[in-house]
Amino acid sequence: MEITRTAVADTAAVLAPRGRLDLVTASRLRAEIAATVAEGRPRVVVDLEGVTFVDSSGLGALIAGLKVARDAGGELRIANAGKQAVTVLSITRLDRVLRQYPSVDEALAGF
Amino acid sequence: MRFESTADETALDRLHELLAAFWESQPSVMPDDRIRLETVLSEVVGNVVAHGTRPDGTKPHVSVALAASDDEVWADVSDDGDAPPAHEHGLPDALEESGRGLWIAHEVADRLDHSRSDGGDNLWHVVIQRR
Repeated sequence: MEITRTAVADTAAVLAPRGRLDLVTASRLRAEIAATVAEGRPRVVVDLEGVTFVDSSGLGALIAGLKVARDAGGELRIANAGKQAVTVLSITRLDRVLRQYPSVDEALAGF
Repeated sequence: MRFESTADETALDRLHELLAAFWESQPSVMPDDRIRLETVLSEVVGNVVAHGTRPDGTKPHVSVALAASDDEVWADVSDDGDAPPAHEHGLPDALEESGRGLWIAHEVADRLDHSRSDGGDNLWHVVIQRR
């Protein structure tokens, strides 16, 4: 799974994975978030525009990323979640923990 | 429509390819119903990949069969690996990184039954009522 990272200002970054976020690919996202935070960018927006599918492993990677970001004084937010992602986020009530935004700009604006 | 595979990292790719082909053959199935079946099957097959490895280290075989009627889409999944993890009864805490897979599957499916065959295979029957 390809993940594009775009640095924003001094302490933020946008990560854009492409494809499915599932058992096989979740660990890559987890590692990419950890690396982004470790490099001094704990304000992370995960852009789900190019993500076709999220399962429980994908949710786990997002939660792990949220904790890493918060431990470093930052936050993790989601943008452009598709129908299937919104479905699993709301069913698991993680939509209360992982804040979703309709666009990357709006997600960044809150930081 | 069905596929059989070794339950390794490619099994989920095969599953999604099968699902794409299935939807092409069943164009009247609504997007929300498709999302629900895909979500449940990804968790069930994902569990076989994650937990089904036998004590001797070999990976099980998994097969998935899909079918549809006017009222339902359903799937039968079988694998010859280890028994699945005990059914997670409740949703874990929000900040838990794992333990949601089967809970999601049970929550999303209209029916999700598990049994073991006489030969020791795991059998899952998934039903999605078409809305």
